[in-house]
Amino acid sequence: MTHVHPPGLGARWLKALDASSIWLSLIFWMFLWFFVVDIFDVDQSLLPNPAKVIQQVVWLWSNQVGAGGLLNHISSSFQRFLGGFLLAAGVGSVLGLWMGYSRRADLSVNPVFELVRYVPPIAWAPFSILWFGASFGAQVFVIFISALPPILINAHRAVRSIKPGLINAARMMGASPLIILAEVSLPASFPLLFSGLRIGVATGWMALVAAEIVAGDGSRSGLGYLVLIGQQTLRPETTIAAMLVIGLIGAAFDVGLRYLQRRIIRW
Amino acid sequence: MNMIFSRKALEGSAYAVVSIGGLIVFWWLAVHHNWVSSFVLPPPTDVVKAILRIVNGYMGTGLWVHFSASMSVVLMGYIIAIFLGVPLGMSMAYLPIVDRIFAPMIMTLRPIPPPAWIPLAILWFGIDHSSKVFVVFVAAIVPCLLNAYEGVRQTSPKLINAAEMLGANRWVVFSEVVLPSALPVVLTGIRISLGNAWATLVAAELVVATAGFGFLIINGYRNFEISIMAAAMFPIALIGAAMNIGFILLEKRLVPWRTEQKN
Repeated sequence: MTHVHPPGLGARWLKALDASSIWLSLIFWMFLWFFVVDIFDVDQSLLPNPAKVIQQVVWLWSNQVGAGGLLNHISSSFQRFLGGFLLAAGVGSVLGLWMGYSRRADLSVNPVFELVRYVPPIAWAPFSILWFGASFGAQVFVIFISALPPILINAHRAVRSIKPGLINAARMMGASPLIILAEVSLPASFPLLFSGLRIGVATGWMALVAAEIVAGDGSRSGLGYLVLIGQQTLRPETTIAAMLVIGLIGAAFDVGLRYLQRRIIRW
Repeated sequence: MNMIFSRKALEGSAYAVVSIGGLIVFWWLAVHHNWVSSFVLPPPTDVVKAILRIVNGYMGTGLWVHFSASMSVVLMGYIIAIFLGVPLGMSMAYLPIVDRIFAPMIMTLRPIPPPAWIPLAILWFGIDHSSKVFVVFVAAIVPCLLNAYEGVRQTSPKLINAAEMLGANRWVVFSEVVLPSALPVVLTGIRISLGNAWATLVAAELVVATAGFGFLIINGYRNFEISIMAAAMFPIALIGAAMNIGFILLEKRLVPWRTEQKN
């Protein structure tokens, strides 16, 4: 472990093999799916073959289902997600930081937080449909509820993790509380805060899809709606295509945020 | 020392009583003075009545029917997930070929949120129990598998080398070194799975069910019985909390050698 070879030809070969083995495996599963559907003559209304699913992604792009084409559904899902997530990020980081600084805030907010923590966020969906309507508000609220805990907990932890020595040192050198906040506390707590936001994105995206499915076909837009309508019209290719898009966007979020995390937080 | 601790605990619970009590009073005031219509937010007293209604048999079926409906589905999906996920995760960590075959597929499917499988599950398995069992299974298998993989991977190579040097064969190394060292991590995964399974079950019951606590919520919504909706959330939270806390206690019993990890 102590000796690091410069990546020579052999290492490069191994790396290429490693990368290709991922593709090989994916191709293997694709073929398996394809042939299982073909050989066992699986009913097309149960499981279409992968080629059909890919075709359906293209078809959805240029044809209207519900409120519009695929791009339309993606953008309305995205707007809902952004609304709920930004709300959770704002409330969660402010509340979490405050709870980290003030013991009183911690003691009074924490019991309420513990009380609602064990209610799965999706259980709020019917309530939020009632309160905010099925097409935008409901999803925003459910995303907010599900993204809030990781953001809040990590913001709280972030403040707690700051070494008192750092703050004392800054204070001794005559820094004002505001300077301490800006120059010491925030940079020191940022890494944990950011990973809270990253987890919040993942849970929020998951909650969005669930909320869109529970909201039913009333909203007529969103990726969750596509998943649901594919089932209701017995077109599993639509369902699976939408699931594929949901997974891709979720994965892209994660990869992007990890990259950002590495770029921003170099300390 | 003991006295300081108990004073601290006393202060904490005083704050808890004040903040939760304040919230309930505010809730009651809000409905009482019609700041919010009781049609969208039932007063606390109605919720308590609705809880009693559910306990005493709401719509002809008692609490037990909903409890067993939810519980049987969650446990079935969960147990299948453990029995498939843990061995698969361990063998992926142990045998590179298994890793190469399964890892890319799992990593492709993982970003799809479990609730997104609900409609497909309905297509495949119909609207009875098995579709919900499948969705719960999908939700529960991921943490089981990943933690089993991580747990085995985290085993210190020094320990393995030492055991091998002492003449242990592969099987002995696995059962006497790798397994005990991986178990805490594996159990944590199994506990996280249980939480996921429960949350996903509620989602599935909101979409398709004829009994269960998620069904109570969505049925209350359909019949405009807001107090029933609110009341059904209590057993869901209680069961979720009880399962999590119970599991933590069990972990302490099963793996006393587990080093504390933040969670």
